[in-house]
Amino acid sequence: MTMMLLLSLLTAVSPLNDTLTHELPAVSITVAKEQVPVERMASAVSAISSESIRRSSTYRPNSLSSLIPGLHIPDYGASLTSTIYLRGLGSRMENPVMGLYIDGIPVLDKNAYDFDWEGVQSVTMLRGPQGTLYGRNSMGGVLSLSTISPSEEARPLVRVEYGSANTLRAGTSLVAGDHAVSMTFRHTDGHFVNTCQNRLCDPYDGLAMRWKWVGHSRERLCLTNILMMNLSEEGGFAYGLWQDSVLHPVSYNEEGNYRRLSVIEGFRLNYCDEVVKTDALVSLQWLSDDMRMDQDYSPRSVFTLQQRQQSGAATMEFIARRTDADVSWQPQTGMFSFYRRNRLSAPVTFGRDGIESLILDNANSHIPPEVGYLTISDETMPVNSDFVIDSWNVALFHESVWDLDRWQITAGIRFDYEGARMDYDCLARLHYRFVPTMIRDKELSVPYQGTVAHHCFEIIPKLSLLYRVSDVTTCYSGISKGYRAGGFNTQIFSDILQNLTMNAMMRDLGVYLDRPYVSVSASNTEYDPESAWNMEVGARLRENAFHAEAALYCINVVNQQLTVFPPGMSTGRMMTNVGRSRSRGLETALGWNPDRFRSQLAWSWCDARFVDYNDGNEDYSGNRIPYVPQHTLFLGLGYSFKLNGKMLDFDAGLRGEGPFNWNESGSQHEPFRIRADGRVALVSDNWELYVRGENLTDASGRSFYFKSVGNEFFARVKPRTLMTGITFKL
Amino acid sequence: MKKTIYLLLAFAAVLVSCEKTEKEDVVIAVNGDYIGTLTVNYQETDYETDSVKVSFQPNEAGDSASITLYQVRFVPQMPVTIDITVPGISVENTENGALLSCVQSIPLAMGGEYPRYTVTGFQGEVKGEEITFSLVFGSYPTSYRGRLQEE
Repeated sequence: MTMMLLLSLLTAVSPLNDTLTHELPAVSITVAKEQVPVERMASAVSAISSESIRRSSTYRPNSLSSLIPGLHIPDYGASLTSTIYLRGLGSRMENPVMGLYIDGIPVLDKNAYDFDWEGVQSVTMLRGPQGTLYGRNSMGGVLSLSTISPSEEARPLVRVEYGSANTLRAGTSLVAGDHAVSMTFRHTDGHFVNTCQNRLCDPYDGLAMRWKWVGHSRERLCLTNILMMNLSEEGGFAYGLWQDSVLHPVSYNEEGNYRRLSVIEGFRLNYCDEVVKTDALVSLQWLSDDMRMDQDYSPRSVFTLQQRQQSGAATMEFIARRTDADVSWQPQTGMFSFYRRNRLSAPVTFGRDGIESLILDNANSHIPPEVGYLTISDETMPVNSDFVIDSWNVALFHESVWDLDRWQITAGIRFDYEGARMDYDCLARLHYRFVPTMIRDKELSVPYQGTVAHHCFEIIPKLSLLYRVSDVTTCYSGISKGYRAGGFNTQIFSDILQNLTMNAMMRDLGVYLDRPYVSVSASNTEYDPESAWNMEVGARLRENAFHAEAALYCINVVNQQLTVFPPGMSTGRMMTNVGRSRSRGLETALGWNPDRFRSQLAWSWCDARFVDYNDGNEDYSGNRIPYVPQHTLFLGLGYSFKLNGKMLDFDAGLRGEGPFNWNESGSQHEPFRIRADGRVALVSDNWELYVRGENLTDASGRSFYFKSVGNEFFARVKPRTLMTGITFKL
Repeated sequence: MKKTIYLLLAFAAVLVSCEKTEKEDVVIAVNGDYIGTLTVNYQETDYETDSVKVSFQPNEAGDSASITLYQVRFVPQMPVTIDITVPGISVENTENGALLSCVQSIPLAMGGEYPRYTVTGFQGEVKGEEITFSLVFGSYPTSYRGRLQEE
């Protein structure tokens, strides 16, 4: 195998353009790493042009929800809660199932996945496991954004829009010489009132900038530098208590906000000679964020969480391909590696109500009243948790494409090693007294320190077959694998410390419970990688203004990662490997765009179930995987009228998602819901004036569910928003 | 621990032999941890708990001591076990061992004095590698027999 890889490397030659270019009318869509055009890819692909992005008012990743069949990115919480579900895969925390690439640069930190963009030329989604070429965290698919480049003749653009919730969004993009720059700003007052504080809880201010430079120092050498920066400050966590089948308003008393600075610097070097074309990409990624959250989401002072993260990472990728694109064998061989260090501080502070209800009530329930009872005099009790998490990855991959007349065979393999290590340093401190024996308070400090580490090695093969039925029709089948990295549950450490503190307090008193407070220990906070095998058949048709595609898939998942809420009055949540699951589904996309008429349909059905999952209390085997919509739907219709030399565009869209199960048992579920969007625009050569709306019927619904301290909470879908704006093309 | 006690006993014996005294050799009880059986009489029924650790801690003069009982359950219904210390026990060192006694003592438990289990009628002795004592904890007649714990 090594010889084969070396031979491939030595004989690899490539076209000048390393990225796939697929020509749709008036647009150019690129997908990093792929060797063949979209029509010849033996997997499901969704390509959205800049025109579609503009008409559907897509300016951040979660706007793509349902627009891409099967993709579900609920809009809730804050920017760091970019939860992604695709083909029955996904979870609400830790590693994503979808890889995000911006101009070929992999975005490592999921906390940076949700951002506003401007100047995006195309969005391409490779659906299904893409582990062979893209490695970790691409088992659901890969989302690739391509932004304006100096090589394109893009006119400078300025956009301003204003509307509901005092929302202002402004953006600009321009190309000048070897440089392309884009910038966008958004402010909103927010949509949901925190009735406890009598103010809107989800305001947002965000600024995103990108600068791209492309230089051709020699004919065969192309250098590209991309610098991206996202800065945001926002509220959030608009969660209402679900009690007695009633969803109460948002009402919490503590601070809830999120600040983030993300900077990504990428440098790309393309060199091409007569035989080999090489592509080297290095990126440096920095993310600094700070989240403060009232974690009981109630007017009581139970407990708060502050999570500060300083994360730095470096990635490196090298790919070699054959230059001559006309020969039937097109190999590519590559190497990828990254190193990331994340300094995470996540202090949990128990307020007076939390000390009473979570600690004292719990502790005193084990002590006979005639013996005495515990008191804690502190108004607040901090549980400090500091982590240094290092992770690293090295991978070697190869893919060969054989073009044999009407047949195309693609085979690939990836050897992927990943390691991670976490140093934890936690401390709980309080002053307690046992009544009646102790006459004064006593200080108790409970330190908890240590290191945990894990390593994994994955072999990720891929095999696919494509048959060109005619010039406009292809069908394909394939088998591929993907994996999602393992990790550490940092959020459960407050639970661990809480239990350790109660046990330490009892031990300090010389009191021993028959059933001591049990919690997971640090060594139990690791979770393993999740891997998925995907079998897929599909067909694609593109003829003139009509295009259609359908894909039927079956995915088997082992070591399924799932967020669970430990039973009882626990304060944490944790990711765990729950067993096996499988999802099968159908995805279809149709488009017909004759002349000035536009129509688009994207629909998916997914049946995702546990095959083997018993949490020790209940057997959930056969139940639906929570949070995964059984259907996603997008139906878009549009028409452009000529009006005095201008165009009057009407576009309407329906987005549907659901039904969902919110928990493993299915006791909480959500029906299928539909949202209506619309846009009217008057377009001239140099400007566009538009009015657009989302959730025009102001349909209510619940967009997310979770539990905290035994209580159930839901996030509501955002209410109707109306925006009016103008775009100038200079 | 056992060796230490033998050494101390031997040292004590040497010291005593050097003194010009009319007293016979006395054995001075020293610090020691014992493992044994605790018997608590509850509603006229004896409840025995094995492998109960007891720590015997005499003062420097050797005439007074405290005894700590670890993880004691006085009645089966108790959902917890507790550490409890009986201070102020008189020690009389004799040639056959140390005699222990205490008329009344407020034990220490759960961070302070615990009068609910006031000790009365404490009688016991440390002899060789054995310790035995009986007492009343509050209203619970209690007795203990243990052997010196090997290190």
